[in-house]
Amino acid sequence: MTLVRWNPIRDLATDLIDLQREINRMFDRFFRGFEEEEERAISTWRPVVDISETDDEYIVRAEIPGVSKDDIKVTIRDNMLTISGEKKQEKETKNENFHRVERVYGSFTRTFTLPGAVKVDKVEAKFKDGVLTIKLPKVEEAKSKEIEVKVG
Amino acid sequence: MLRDRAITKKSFTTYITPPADLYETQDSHMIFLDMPGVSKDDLNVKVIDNRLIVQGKFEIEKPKDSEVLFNEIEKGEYRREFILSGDVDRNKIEAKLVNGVLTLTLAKREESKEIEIKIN
Repeated sequence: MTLVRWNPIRDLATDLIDLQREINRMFDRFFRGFEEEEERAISTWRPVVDISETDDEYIVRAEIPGVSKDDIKVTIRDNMLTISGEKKQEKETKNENFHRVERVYGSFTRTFTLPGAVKVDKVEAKFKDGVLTIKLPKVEEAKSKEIEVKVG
Repeated sequence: MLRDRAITKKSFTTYITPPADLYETQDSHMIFLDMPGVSKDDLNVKVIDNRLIVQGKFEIEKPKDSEVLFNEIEKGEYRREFILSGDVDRNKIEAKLVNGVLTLTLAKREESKEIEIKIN
């Protein structure tokens, strides 16, 4: 293994980015109805997600590189969406010398409480280039209605 | 071995550094990079002198009038540079992209492979 020179700027930059992410996450949790169950103790890593909402649906995107489609499980129960699976180390590297291992492996799970009811039978999930996209159409009642107020 | 220049002046502001695993076998070096969201067409792997440069773009389609609830995915462009050690055959670098993971296999040059010498 070669010695890599310590780069304080890089370490600092990484720390700052981590801190920024954590603060963003805190804000997300605080302000949004889309709540996440805390399961950090169980899983070793958590895929990062983007969740957005339109009038008709919720769109969940998760970065899960290195996991095959068949190793990802998406379930909805009691209005809770769970994404779980396992990222395995590449077979061919098991018996080799490593110089650097930065990627994370192991099982993961993330659970979110949906703020409104969704059409469970119409949920679509697709997996492409390591990104999982789940589209959850809202049921009619859960759609926000705009009521115009007429000023007489 | 392969040295890596994760942070260049440019990447400090613009690029995402994908995490990498580096392995060595008897006749090759292997690099695994997590680059979720990048398709084959948006990926660029090149060798300049002794530098191996990996760069990839990804686009996340955003529906109109959507409200963001969680925003954890870093957006932008991936880039990472590796400095090739002398034992790598520049012309024998293979790249494979599966499920968002780029696998690079860098074959070692014949003359730098380990040879066992028989003792008579």
